[in-house]
Amino acid sequence: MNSNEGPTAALAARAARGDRAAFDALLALHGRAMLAVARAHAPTPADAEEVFQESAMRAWSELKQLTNPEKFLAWTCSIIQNAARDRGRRAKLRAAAPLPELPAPTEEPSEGKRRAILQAVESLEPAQREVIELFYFGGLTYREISELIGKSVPTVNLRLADARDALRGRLHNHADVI
Amino acid sequence: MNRETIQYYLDGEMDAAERAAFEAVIARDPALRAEVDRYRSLDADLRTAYAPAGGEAERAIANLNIHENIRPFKRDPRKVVIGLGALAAVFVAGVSIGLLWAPAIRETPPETGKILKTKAPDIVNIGMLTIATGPCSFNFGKGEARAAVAGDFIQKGAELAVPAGARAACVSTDGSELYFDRDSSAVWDDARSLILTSGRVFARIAGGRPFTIRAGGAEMLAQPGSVQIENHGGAAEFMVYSGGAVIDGLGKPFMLKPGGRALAAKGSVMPDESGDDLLFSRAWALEIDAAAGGRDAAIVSDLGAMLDRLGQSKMPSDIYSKAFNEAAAACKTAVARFFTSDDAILHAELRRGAARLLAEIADEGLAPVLSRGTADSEFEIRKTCVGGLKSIASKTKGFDPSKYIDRKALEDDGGPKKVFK
Repeated sequence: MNSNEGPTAALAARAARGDRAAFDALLALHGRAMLAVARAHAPTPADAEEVFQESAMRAWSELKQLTNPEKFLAWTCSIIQNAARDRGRRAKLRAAAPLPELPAPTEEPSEGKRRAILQAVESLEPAQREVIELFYFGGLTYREISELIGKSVPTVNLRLADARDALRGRLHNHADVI
Repeated sequence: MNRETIQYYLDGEMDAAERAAFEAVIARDPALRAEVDRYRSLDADLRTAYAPAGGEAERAIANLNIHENIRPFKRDPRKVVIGLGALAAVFVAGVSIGLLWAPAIRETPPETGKILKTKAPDIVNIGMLTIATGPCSFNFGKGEARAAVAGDFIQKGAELAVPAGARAACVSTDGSELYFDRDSSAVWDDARSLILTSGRVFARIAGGRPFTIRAGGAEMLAQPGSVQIENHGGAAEFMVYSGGAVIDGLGKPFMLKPGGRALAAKGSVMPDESGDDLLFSRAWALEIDAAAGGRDAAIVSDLGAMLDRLGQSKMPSDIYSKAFNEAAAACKTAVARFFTSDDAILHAELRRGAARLLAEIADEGLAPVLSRGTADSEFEIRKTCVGGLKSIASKTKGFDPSKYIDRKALEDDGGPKKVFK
């Protein structure tokens, strides 16, 4: 069982009764994981923040519909995934009229490496990107990731292994950047 | 030592005893140490890359601007009663006003003749495109085809094209659902009639009169349930998962029950009893279900759990051995068929899963365990695995088996020897 499950259920029940402080506490507990999910599913990090904002608002206003308060995180993450998907669809439509490319600002070498790594992460398959974001950005353990995405711990491990192998391959091709 | 174990170690997922044991192995094995260092280096790079993003979560939470006036939604039963009362009052008032104005309305009767001559709009929406992944297009027969996007209405005569690699889901006005992939093209006759000119459709038929799908010069009259039709350049396969269907072509129509399959070409129809593709077709149906929201989530979950159990059996623990033996006895044959069927291996994810599973069964001590859990000898199990990998290697474009197997060893018949890398 997730160590946060106990307080989560109590806080979510209080928040559903309109206790804003309880909702803030929930965000303090799970905000990082929520944002990690948004980053894993939204087209860009900027979109992810907007998705996070929009979803947190929605979660707050619809908390009454959450029948199992202990499932707050899973429920919120499904809201985030839907919002991110919608945003992705809109982004595809917008992409029909591409904006002119601006020259890239000059960067420190370390920043270039960071960007290369994050771009490589963005190019991963969604399932792989999701576990990378949850592990590195969300700071979640295998067990917590497995509960969140509904897969077993070995599956989480396998996806991380696949993701890392893919990243190694991609970053190897950009060895000059690294 | 596999990469998953290295990850358990680097990601802090081992307990103290496991860590100590693993570190002792690393100390004795320079090649393993080098591999661990490679993963450690990537891990460090990723942590560095994500470090600046670390503060984003706190900032995003701090920036949250949830208006104080927004409160968790709660339906107040008293308000519902008041609302219904208000509706009733509006209705009464509307009727009263209507009666008051009725004489005036009667004084200016509608021009009936004109109304009758007005042509009704001939655009009738018979369905809607709900999901489109990839560059799908619609042709309504009035010029160029245009991009099809989710939310588009489907009209009589519309032709939907779903290129290879794309997928589309549609719902008819009767509630029937249609899922297309594999370079499909279909034309709607009406809400319950479709011509599949190429590709594949999986249909979940809603209640009502039979749903007609034509392909290969024959037609399927499907009852409520699930069916699948593939059209390969004029030769069609009709399959029934649930419900039933009448297949009608040249000759006598016949009935297909769940699990039944028929082939049609140029109108000639014959039942096919082999059922070889049924397992794969079922897997595809599950995949479609998962993409559409996982209504058959229980079956998907069972399949996942089965494979997870196969994965967990590699863990250095006895906890899983009993469950694994049970799972192996129950599903080994099914898993092997599922993973090695011709069509399944075309799917990249399954291909990887197949290769990995087969390699693990043969090489990581699973064959003896499977042998104990089933009636097959270890030799037979290894042979099945080699056969599966051969099949994957020979029938899949761009698939490189060298990641999993030793090509030279693959040439033999796969006896109880080490053929997997």
